[in-house]
Amino acid sequence: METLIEVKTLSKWFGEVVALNNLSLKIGTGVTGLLGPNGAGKSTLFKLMLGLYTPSRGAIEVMGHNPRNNLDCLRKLGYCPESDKFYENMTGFEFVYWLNRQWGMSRKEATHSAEEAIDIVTMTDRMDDPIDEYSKGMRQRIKIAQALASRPALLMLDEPMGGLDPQGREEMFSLIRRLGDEGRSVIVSSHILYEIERVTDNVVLLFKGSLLAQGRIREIRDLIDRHPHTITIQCGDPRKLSQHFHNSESTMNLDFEENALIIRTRDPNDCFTKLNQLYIDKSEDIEEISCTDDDLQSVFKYLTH
Amino acid sequence: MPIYEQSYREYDGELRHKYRWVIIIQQELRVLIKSKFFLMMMLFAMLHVILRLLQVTAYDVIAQDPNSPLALAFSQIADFAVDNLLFFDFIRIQSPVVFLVVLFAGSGMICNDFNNNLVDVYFAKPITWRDYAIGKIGTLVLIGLVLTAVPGIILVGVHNMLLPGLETVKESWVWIPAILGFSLVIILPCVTAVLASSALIKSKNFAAISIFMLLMANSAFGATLAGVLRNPNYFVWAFPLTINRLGQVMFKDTRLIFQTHWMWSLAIVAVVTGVSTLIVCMKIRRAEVA
Repeated sequence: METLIEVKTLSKWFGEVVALNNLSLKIGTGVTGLLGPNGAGKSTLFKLMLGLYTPSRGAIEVMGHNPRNNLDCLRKLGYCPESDKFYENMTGFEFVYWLNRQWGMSRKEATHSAEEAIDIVTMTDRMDDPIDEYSKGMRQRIKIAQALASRPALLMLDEPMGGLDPQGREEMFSLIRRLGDEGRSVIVSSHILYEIERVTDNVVLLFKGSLLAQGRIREIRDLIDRHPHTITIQCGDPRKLSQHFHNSESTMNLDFEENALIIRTRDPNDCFTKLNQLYIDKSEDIEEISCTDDDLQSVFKYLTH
Repeated sequence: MPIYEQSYREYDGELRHKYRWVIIIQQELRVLIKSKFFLMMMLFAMLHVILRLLQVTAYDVIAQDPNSPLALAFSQIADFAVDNLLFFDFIRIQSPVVFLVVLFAGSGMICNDFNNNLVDVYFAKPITWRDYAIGKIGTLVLIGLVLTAVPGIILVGVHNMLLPGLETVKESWVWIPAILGFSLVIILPCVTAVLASSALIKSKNFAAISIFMLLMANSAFGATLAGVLRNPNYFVWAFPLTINRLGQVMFKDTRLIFQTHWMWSLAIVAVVTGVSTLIVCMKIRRAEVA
């Protein structure tokens, strides 16, 4: 596997805050998940890869080159940031088009490329609507489109599933998998193991700016499977929803709060699949799903203690 | 083991536009043109241009015609002649409008990008902080010129067309550099100060209010100093008057409010423009190079 990113004893600090601490790793082609809780240094690592930050110590190489002030290197990268605020009165097409133009494309190429990228993220029918009329999922997709439009060698997606509803997440998983299947190299960050598991089995685990683990997701997953997961579901009728889970072997415990069902399970994967299906079928009134310890905190606790 | 179809090809098209700041100017103008309020302000600013156009036409066509019954009446009107003072007054009167339009267009130009994390998106593309800074400054300078120098030069052209002759050309060609110079003296400090405020302050509204209050305070300070010390030369510290002083030099206007040498005024304008540009560049560069 060709090495795209090579990080050598990299540290980055902002004043007294250490964002990355003596990090060394290699990321190859294919889809890679960058996992870590908030503050682990995922976004900082992305910005170092883009050359937006200078390393405080150590070095980073992107496709064999230092990315700092390296416009040739930037041409090969597509970046989708976490934030989803834009020029609200611009249409989705205009947003992608103008960024293509800034990238260096001619009018014709920028138009063609924007339309192509928007088609990949299945936003063609809404591309001429102003961005302020877009849902969260549409905003995420148009952000990905601007990163895809220049057909980069490496695509970096910073928390692309953030704030999406279950259906939006499913669409995003499918999009990232499709990008990977086409042979694109993608680095996707998240703080939720389950999300990464749906798109790749190759992960880098960051914790407090340091590398905790790197490799196949199954090996890391085994660590968390020994601990039960807590999943909180906000819904209209928790007791009715609980009927779908109380016979499951993996369910350890069911709790009820006001308009919420709390499930402790040994198999969160099975639980999420069931919940997604219930949401898509609209057989249950599911408003929000939060995974109290699916944010890798338990695996981090396990690995760090 | 996933099976990859490997159909993906990286972009291999030719890269155009060595000067990406041109694209940023085009993009910013597109965004501004979508604002109805901005268009209304621009149209309002054009009312003055239309009035001056009527004045130039009336002077050149009617007042210069000895057979016209209105010629005598027009010659009685003060400041009616098409001369250097007409163009000086035109640009001087446009300056508050330029300030307001630039304030509206520019106060959110940088802070909105910072607030929305768009700076990261920009700099993740192969553009430099210089492209970004020149693009933002260039957009506002262009808007300023559209309100001052461009109509001013068009008025000179109309004057030459309506009153053709070598005399007119000889008399009026010197107005063009004066129009351009005075316009830039108004626009450059205004644009850079508004952008500096936008780079320093997170909110568009606060950036606009701050720069507006600063200008008011500065004018009051200059006037108070001149009044208390009973010396009109202290008016040089009031920014609008110091710009006015430079305009008077360029258009050879002798109706001076104060006698301080114009080099002092030029130095003040240069310092304001220089410091503001430095702030803009430093803030943008810090976003790129953290």
